[in-house]
Amino acid sequence: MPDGPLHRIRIKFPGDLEYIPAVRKYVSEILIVNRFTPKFAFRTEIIVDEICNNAVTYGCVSGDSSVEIACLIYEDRIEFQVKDAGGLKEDIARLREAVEAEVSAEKKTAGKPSAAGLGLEIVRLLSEEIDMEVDDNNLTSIRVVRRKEDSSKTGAAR
Amino acid sequence: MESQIELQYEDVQGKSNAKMVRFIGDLDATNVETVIEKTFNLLNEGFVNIVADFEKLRYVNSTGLGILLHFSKSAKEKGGSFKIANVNENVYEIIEIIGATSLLEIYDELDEAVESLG
Repeated sequence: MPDGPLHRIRIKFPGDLEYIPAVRKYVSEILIVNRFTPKFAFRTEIIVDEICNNAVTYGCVSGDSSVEIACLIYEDRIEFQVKDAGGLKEDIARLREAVEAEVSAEKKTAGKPSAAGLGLEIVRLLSEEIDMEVDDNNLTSIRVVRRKEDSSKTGAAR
Repeated sequence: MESQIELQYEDVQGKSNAKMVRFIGDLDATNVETVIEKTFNLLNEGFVNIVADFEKLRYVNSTGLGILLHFSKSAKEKGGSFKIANVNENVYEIIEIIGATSLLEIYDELDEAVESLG
């Protein structure tokens, strides 16, 4: 049986945080409809939220910029690619550091209610693969793969 | 288009400086400002002990977690506390994977959280 995606979804939205809840809930609903578990859908909703938040906050410096998210839904996994409109060099450097390095919650939240690194830390812990590319125009693309069989990955049981 | 969050308040019997706050809905980057404003209003009015009931909090992201840590720190600085109870499994998991369970005061039941106020 070929390992092609069951669905391909492409969503483009204005670089404004207000659009993200609808996007993340839409992706979550699609997963539920495709018989992924509610827990998988919830964790995926978090991933979509965090990477879109980063894209809007740090990758949409001009007023008319937008974010594009492409989702490939397979039987056993979901792959995302989130592209923003280009950010500042220092933000991209911080983003790369957050994608590549592990940081503690305490360190990232110290003195600040929110930090991009904390969101990406969550994404990394909930996914199997995360990588980023930046082109010559500072357009940033983050790719995330999340597989079905990862319930033991975080060790979070309660 | 912001996410829906509703905060409901209730007095805590015998504790004039405490309030119980029910969080209902999703806590994310689109509504943290509202939640910060309302919670700091309580702290500034002298309700320095806050018990947050998360039974109906469906969702929280890193921005939301950041402000919970902020509330905890601010309440302590005012001589009080910010306690959380009734956390659902999904939300607890997010708190746990960032290692914030040791930074927040989390209780299984609302009664336990209220009793811990002393």
